[in-house]
Amino acid sequence: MSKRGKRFGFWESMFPNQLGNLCFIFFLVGLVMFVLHAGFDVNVFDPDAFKTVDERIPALGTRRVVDEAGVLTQDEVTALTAQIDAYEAASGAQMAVFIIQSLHGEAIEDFSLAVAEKWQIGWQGEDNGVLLLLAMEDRENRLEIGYGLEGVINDARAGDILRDMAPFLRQGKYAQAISFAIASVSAFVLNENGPEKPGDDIEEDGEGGGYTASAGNDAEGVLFCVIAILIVLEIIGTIIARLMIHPDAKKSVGLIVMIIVLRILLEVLKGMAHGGGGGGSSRSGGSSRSGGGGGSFGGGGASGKW
Amino acid sequence: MKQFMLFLGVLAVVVLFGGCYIIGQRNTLIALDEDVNASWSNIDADLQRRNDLIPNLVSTVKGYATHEEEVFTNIADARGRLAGATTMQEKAEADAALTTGLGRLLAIAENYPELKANEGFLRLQDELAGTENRIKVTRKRYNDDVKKFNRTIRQFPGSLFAGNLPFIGLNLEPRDYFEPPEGHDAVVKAPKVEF
Repeated sequence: MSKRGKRFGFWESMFPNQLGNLCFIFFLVGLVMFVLHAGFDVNVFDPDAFKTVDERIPALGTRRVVDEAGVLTQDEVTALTAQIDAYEAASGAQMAVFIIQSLHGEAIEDFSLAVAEKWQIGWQGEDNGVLLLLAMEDRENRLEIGYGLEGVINDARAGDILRDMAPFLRQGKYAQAISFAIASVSAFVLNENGPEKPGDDIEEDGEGGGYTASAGNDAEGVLFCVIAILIVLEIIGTIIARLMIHPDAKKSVGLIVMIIVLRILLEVLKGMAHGGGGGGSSRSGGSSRSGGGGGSFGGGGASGKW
Repeated sequence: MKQFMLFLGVLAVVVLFGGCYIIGQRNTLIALDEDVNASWSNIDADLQRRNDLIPNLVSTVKGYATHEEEVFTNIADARGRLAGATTMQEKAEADAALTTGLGRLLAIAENYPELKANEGFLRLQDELAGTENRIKVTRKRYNDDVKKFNRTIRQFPGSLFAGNLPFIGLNLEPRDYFEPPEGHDAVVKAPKVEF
């Protein structure tokens, strides 16, 4: 096949000198590391990537009152939404109402937490979301309180609100019951918290209170790697330039640089995905309603029956 | 000479990649370890919170139900055990005993209509239920974190860095799950799954 005889196989025909071979091995090592690391990162270190979403929970979008059971008229939904808008504007917190037909045997606490985690009501870091859940057939309701409001609306107060709602619910006055709940939440939050607190955000370092995934360390690692890579790249570049290497080797060097750039890009992207994760949309100052702000919940609140 | 220099360059890149890789892996493991610690302290806080609620609840019930000494004794006993528990196993056991005791206490309350109508009792019951729910949530999150951590340090390549290799080993041990002992599944029922 080749005039050099059997001693030279496939690789030699691709990289016909030792320099080229070295570079190619080097390229392979880089590629293997690149693939290995990326693969393990996605599959093993972040099993959440495969989490299935409960299909019974619709997306919140920019809604505030989601009536799957159809017990409210359109006008009532509009009125309640306006009431929540007013509360949100005054408090800087978020609230949503979810009405379902049935829990299908699920415990209301479990279902409600799943909804709260999916919708992420409340702002990231402040965790000031409130979710009111009504299950019509089960005649059960629950007020789920975000971490940040647990102090203001403790479980007993949440229970009070639900108990006071019950008479309305028993009479079928659902809109009134919900309106009462919104007003009560609003009263507690605004009295204790005051609208737009400027200076008292203790947990302002963006990490979110309580339970957050590991993200912070990654960013440092990425930065370190990028800087280190740049420095060493410079050194290697100088060495290679001095050598005036074989054209084949040059090709491989190009590949190596490509891998390194890809790797850096991947790390940066990963860092960004981690940092901006959790659906933390930014707060818009205007009147337009936003989706869930990335608030977390820890099971605080109360459940009731009517 | 040329080849030697190139070899040096190759070596430098391999070392660099390897170094970054090792640092990245180690940082991941350390972060996961800290996640487990953080979740554990959340459980601890919730257990403590419940422990603090109990005296109020017991004294309220005592006001109405004077002949139920056994239940009160059991609760006090379990509370003491929880306070003195050092290992996770002991904690989980005491926690389960306490839960059983509280369940009985609340069942007793059903027999006293006046107590059931007492607003203070209702609110204490809310607080207790809320705390139980928090324990359930933090417990699940803790176990999820432990699972993630244990899986990572036992699987390759995490196992490499979690071991006792010189310089890069972190000497990490698998962590215990927070689980009630056999037969005690009162509070922390497995979440119902429906298909």
